[in-house]
Amino acid sequence: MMKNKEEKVVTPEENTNTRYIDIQSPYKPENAHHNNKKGAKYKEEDNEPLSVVKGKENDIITLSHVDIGFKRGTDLRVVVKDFNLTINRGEIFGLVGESGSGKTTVGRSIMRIVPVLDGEIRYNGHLISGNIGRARERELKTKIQMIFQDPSASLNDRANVDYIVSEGLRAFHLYENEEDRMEKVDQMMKRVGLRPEHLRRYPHEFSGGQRQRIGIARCMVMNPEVIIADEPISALDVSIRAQVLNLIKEFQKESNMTVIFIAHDLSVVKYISDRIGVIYGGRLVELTTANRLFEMPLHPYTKSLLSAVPIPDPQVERKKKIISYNPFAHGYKWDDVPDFYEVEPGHYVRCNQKELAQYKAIIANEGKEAK
Amino acid sequence: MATYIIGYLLIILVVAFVVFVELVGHKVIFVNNARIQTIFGHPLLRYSLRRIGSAIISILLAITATFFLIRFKVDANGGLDFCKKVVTNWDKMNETIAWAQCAATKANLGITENWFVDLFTYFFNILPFPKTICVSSFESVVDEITGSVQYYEVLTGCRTTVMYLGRAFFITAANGEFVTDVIFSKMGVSFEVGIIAVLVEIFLGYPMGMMMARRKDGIFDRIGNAYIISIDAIPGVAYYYIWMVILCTLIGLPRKYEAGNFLTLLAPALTMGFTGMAGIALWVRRYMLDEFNSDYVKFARSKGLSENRILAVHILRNAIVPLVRSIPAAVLGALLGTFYLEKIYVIPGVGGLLVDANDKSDFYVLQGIIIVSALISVVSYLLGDIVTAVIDPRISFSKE
Amino acid sequence: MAEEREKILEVKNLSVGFLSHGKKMHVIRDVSLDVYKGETLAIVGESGSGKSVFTKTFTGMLDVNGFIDPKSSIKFHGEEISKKKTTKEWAGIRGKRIATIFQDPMTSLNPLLTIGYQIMEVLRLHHGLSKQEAKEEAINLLRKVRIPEPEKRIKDYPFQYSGGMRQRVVIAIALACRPEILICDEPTTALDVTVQAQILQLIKELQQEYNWTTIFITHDLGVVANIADRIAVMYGGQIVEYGTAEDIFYEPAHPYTWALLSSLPQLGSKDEPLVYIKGNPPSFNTEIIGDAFAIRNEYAMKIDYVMDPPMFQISDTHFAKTWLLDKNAPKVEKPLIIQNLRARMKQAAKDLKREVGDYDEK
Repeated sequence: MMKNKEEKVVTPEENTNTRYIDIQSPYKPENAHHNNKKGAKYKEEDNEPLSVVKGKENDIITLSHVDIGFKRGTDLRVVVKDFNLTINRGEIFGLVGESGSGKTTVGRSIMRIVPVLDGEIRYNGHLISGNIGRARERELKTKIQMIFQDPSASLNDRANVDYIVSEGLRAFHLYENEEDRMEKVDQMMKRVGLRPEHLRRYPHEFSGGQRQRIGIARCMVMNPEVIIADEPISALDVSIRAQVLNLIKEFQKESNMTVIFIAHDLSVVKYISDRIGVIYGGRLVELTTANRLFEMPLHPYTKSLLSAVPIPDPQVERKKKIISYNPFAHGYKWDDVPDFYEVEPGHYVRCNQKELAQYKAIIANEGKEAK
Repeated sequence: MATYIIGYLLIILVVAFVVFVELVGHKVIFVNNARIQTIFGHPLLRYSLRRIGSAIISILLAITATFFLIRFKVDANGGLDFCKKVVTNWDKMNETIAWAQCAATKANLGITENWFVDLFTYFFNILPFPKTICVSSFESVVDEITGSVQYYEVLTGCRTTVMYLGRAFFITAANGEFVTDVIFSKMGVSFEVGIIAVLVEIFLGYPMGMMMARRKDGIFDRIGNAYIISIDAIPGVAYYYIWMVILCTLIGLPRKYEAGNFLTLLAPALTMGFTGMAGIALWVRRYMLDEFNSDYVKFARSKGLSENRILAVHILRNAIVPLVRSIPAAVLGALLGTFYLEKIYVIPGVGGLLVDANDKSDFYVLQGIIIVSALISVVSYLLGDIVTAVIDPRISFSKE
Repeated sequence: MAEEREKILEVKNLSVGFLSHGKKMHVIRDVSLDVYKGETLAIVGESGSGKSVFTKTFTGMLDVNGFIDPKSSIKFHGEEISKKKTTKEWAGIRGKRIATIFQDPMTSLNPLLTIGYQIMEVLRLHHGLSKQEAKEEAINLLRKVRIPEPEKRIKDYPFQYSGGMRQRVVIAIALACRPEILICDEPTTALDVTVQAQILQLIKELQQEYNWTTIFITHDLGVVANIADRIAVMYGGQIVEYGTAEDIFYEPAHPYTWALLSSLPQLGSKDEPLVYIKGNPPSFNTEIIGDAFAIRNEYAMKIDYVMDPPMFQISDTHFAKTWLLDKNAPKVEKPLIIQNLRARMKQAAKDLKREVGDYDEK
């Protein structure tokens, strides 16, 4: 009886206030049930440290059947639904989508900033979602760090840079003595292109780009294995963006960390990432390598995203045609629900059987033409 | 009998209404009836009911706490301190007779040995449904020969009332009266003064803040700021005296309160109003300056709107939203009066009553004032929320 | 060709300063620029380059402590407007003939008033319409900016809209006055790429219909390519290069423009680090001597630290303010990306399967 309310379907662009309902597939009452309540209550016996790899060597983070939602009064607004994703060790993974698509929420759920309703998230094969205990949570925070979008809002205005950068070190006692800490902080400041004398200053004395570099220093000084960069350059001037992107890429190469790079701009993501996942309405719609996504975009939403990327060439831009994505154009039916299929090795698209056949045909054709 | 039936029916109706609203709100019943959903499922309605519910619980907790504190005082030192206080000439009296008198007084007050029984009797009495309260007074007579004490109960009368807060005993001129009567009559006096003061605060404070914000760093702003700072810096009591001197001695307004004489209200009301308006002006100025710098005001200016229009339509309204919440509290707060003010101008108001009751340990009066002021603050916050919700479309009570 | 067109706005030797703690800071330093009727002029620069302040002088929207140097002149249709001060003097121009759209659509609408009221307010002020007429016109305008079901949405409050929709409403308000000049101050910076493309498209289409002049301010050269006919690049309170979009994108001449173009990730390649501009934009607290860009410029010559370069003319339409164009300057090797600019652009277009332009290389 309660499930029938608000059956109106709304796109995120139209109204982000309305309760989100799966727009990719027709509404199925059984989808609303969480039969597997594992995410919230389930606890796993696991005493090994997080750095010991359980399961596949290559998978650093796996999200399986993750649902994330927010409770507003009696309404449950599900933002991310049945989300499956494996992040490979040492890659830069780009997660692209528009605002309200749930891309930030996914990043935050890995950091345990938002709880998952259902499903599980694993780090090196160890469960890190749901109730995992305080010790494990602390341990996780030394492994995963986050860079936030707004460099002015994410730094404490009343703390000097020294305090901000070494806060993590202090919290987890990751240094031997005061000298060791100073050295680590000094080194990190130099790495991000700031001078040690900047340590005594306060965030408001810096420009946006410098602040974001402080944000990066704060993360990197912890020597994490995974960095979640949540739109780290959206609030910055174009000329400064390049610097921040370079830094992230350099750090990644040097220490072979894994980076999850969340953005709304495909041109940036293409430059920096190895693989790209496109997220729409809380679900992945396409996932493949960065080059392949540009070469062979299959899902109409990916195509619309690509069509919007600005190219710095006036003549190309004047001829630009924007493809707008209509989620209802798929015409999915109740008995013909889309799923996430592998169209070619490593290239996944969310589609139904009919579309799957079409996509496969497109790829086969491409192969023929190449020959 | 009829009052009883109506009273109980009303209580049943209220409970039923609350249950109904919650069920509709949770979309358990009338799911498909849009009309009922919009009226009874309205978040504001549910929010208010919940707010009242939680307020009642907190009031009950406050009553329990004060009740025990007061009882602790009564029973301290084997009750000796209390008895010495309530029985006049304790030292000169025969000890047995004195204790007997004290016991009679306690019986009058409804104090028994068991704290919890008394507490629940008190709870029962303040529950808002009709009940008949019969008032009797106890007299103790000591049999000289046997030395035993006998009580005579004298029934003085019965009365049906909604809320019974006990009776006043030790404050002057009101002994034996119902606490509710005492408080309400004093409240009337306090409110006479208070409401004029609130009107002065609002009708002078808002324009003052607006004018200060409009010409920031102008002459008026500087004078206003100096006034606000001086009010902040000098203790309120001292300020009341300064105003008294100005209003009564220099201007010649009558100082002593006389019932029914409007002129005598002016001096205390203006004293309170002039002091209170500084706080209002301070906040109006602050909020308006915030709005002046907001993006939509810049956009409104770029639309070519005149400064007066921007001020009236865009800035003022938005600046007032956070302030309106406090208006019901100010108006209802006027019921409670201010002790110092009442002392200076000899006003028989609630502020004086509170101090008087505390001095004389008239704890039913004390507790009555606590309950009434708690009720007033709950109601005024609720009204404040509702008023804000009405003028601010962004507020939806379903969230958080 | 450009000379024949009607000049709608003539800016001559504009200097703008701010009084701060008793000190004068000049943030616009001697800028001259003409704006032609019906064109789209983009002003590009980093934050702090003075691009917003520059356009604020066209509607007299400078902050209270700002002042325009008395030697400056801004002529709108031949009428001197730089001396206007009060709202009364600006009446009839600000909002009516020159309208502005601001950066953040989330905050540029009054949260407590309905969308409809905020549009109707302008209509009633500038066109003297009755309430009913204004309402009908407001619905029309909302339809024009493609807001679905405008009859219903006119009663909505801004918080019920997403960023893209709010920016559409802001455009509708600007449109309500039928302005001759529309100043867009970073209107898409806060929006998603897809929404940004739609808003740009909308502005372009409406411009064709209403035939106004757009002045488009942004920090992102990538966005500008889509919309601009002419581009002015600003740095340190001065225009350092201006010309047609083709001039700027295909034949950039100023080292700052080179740096801006090179830092675009679209033109970068995965194997090499992106180019970025080292250092920070100049602060106006101290007087700038010589070329403001010199300290960040790897092509800076000795003279750059001493003397401010004049504006050199490259072609009919193309001007740049750098000593590199002086006849005595040594020939310099342009940065790698600029050398292969055309190839990089073509590659970027090819990657995205776009139709490539037919610009003939000189």
